[in-house]
Amino acid sequence: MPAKLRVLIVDDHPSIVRAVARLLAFDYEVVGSLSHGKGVLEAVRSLHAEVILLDVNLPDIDGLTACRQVIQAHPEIKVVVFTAADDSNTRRRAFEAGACAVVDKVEFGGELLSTLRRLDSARH
Amino acid sequence: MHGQCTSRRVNAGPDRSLCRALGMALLGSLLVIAATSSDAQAAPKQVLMLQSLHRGNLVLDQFIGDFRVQLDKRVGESVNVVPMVVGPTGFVGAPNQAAVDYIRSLYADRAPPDLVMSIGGPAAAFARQYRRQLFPEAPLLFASVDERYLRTAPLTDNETAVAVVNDFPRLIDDILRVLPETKQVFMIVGSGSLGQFWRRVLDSEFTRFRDRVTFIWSGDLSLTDILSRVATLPSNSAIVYLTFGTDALGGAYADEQVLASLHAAAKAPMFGAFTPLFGHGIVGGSMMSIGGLARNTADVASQILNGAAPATLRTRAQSPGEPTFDWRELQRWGIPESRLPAGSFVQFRSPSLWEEYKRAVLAAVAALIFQSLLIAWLLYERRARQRAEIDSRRNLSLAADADRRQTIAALTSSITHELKQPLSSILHNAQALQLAAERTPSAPGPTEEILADIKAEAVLAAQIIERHRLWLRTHEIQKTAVDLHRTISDSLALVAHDLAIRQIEMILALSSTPCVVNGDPVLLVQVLVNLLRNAVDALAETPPGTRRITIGSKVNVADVEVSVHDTGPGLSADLLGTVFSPFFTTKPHGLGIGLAITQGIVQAHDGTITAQNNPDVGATFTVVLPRDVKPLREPVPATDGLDAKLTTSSR
Repeated sequence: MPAKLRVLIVDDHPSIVRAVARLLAFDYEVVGSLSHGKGVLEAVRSLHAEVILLDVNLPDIDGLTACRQVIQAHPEIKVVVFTAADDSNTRRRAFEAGACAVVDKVEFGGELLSTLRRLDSARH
Repeated sequence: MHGQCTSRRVNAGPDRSLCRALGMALLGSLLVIAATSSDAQAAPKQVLMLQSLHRGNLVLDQFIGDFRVQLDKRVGESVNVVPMVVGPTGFVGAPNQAAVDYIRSLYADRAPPDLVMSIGGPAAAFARQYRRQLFPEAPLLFASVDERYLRTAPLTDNETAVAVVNDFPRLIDDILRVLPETKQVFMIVGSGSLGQFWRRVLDSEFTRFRDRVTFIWSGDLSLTDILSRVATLPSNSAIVYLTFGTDALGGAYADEQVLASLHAAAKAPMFGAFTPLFGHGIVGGSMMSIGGLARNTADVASQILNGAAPATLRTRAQSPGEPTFDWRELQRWGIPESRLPAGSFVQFRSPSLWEEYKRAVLAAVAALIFQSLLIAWLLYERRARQRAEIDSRRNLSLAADADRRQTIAALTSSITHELKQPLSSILHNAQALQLAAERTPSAPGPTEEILADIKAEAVLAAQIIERHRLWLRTHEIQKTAVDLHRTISDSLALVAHDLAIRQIEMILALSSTPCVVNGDPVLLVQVLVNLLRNAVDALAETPPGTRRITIGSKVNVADVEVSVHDTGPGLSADLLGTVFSPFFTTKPHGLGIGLAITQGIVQAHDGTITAQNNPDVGATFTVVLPRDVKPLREPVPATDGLDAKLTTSSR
């Protein structure tokens, strides 16, 4: 049985982190969570994360800045921008920053799970 | 003219020589004065005045006093009047011839008088009787005499008279008019010749009243008896005071004394026929005007002294004037004014309360009216001001409502973002729960924890919705005790997302004691939100690392201060004075009413708001509100939920 996709959650809302971690835990390995952006690179390295679920509005640095830093240092890492501001401008800026997907925090079609399934499939 | 009277009781015998001596001394003095003054100027006119009575008769006293004053006015030069009492009380008991001799002796070495006058009936009779011995060449003027006294002989060419026609029946008519039930009239007359004269005359003249009225005469009574009589008069009686002088015992009395005693004792109203008696207790009636008589007499006397022949100066006898009544006596005897003869005068009327205090009452009424008008005006003003205040409040409320809706519209993305957090949590928890149910139906995992999270996040979402719903609701000002630290917390919750996406650092420098004011919680949040949004806008061009807003609070003795300090470019000098004006804005899409409404809300809380540039960078808006010492209804929560994004400090 192949190893589960390793996911790192970066969001400053603990309740969202808890909920998403519960949901993903069925099929993926949630390696950890961060409530700020500055430790993302270090966490990616130490936790061997393959996918980062990254909030845009972080209390210390802009989520998209963190995204750029991660892609630059680890181009193999897949960054899924997880945002409450799902508008075209944010999507455009996210993809420019290197994100592979943008998922609305309030999605009713199982978009988060399908995105991760797609990334998981692509890995194999 | 009538009765004899003196001012005091005179004893016969021992005083006789004294009286004469005084009379001689007086006359001698006057003649000496006249002779002395003649050395310097033309000799004064000499008038020999033969009087019927001594002082004490009210009528003659007034007549002589008025006559002397009027004569001096008319003659225009000094007139030397030598009085000589020739009536019964002048030379009491002495034969008239002695008096004549005495008078002649006074003029033995002097020029005869320029005018001889007789005053009163007895003196007229004396003058006429001794005319040949008493300066027949001098003109003779019969003054103040009833024409009945003169009917015994015609006037000669060198004589004239200013006489009266006393009309006592007319007085009785007056009495019967005002007191129609009168059956008995008590006639007060002296016991001397004058009294006897009038009784004779009036017995005849009163015959027409015989069937209706009984007349009782006092001539045979002492004053004591008269007073007893008037005190026991039957009802339907009246008293007529004619004259007095002496009583049956020979006592001489002044009119004033007799009238006062009668007035005090009488059980019936008293009437009189001469104006000088008026005011001394008589009810009134048709009275002879003695003032007018004195003027007429002075006219004639002055013309004689100026050379006019007496025969050319005949005058009509004076009649009584219009009936005059004393209001006080009418009141005393219950006589209604409706009974008075037409054309009557009423004097001594006591002023009514209204008449007496008319000015004071009018002044008080005027003051009252003025005061009432002032109060009405003040009430009107107050009402108008209240109305204006209500309108102003309503307008402020409407403007504030509009401003809040605009703010909410501007914060829509912020609200959406805020709501999405709990919704996201709820949604993903639900999906996890569903997945657990599908994959491990026997052991669905931490269901209780998930459900607890869902419930908590649903509550949070509801709170967010409620907070914004309150803001969108139409709102009237409702004041209560509010801690501005709570206001700051609520305001930050509304703009937190805005601050985050603009990467603005928020610093709280709050007082350690509650900042309590009496205010409207919603409107005060609106003040803070407007100031924060204003600060956020001011930081638009500021580099992200230096975007900072500091909210400070300070509690003073009487007021509290809340300031919003930003690190933006500050306000240009020309904008500082207009920043709170309506429609002032530096934003391309702003209405420019936010700060004007903010100021309106602050002023509605009796506070002030100011804007000033900071010494280093940016501007500070400071709100000062009156401090409220009332206890808060609910404890103030800490400014939670923002800890991760705020730097908080206490001072």
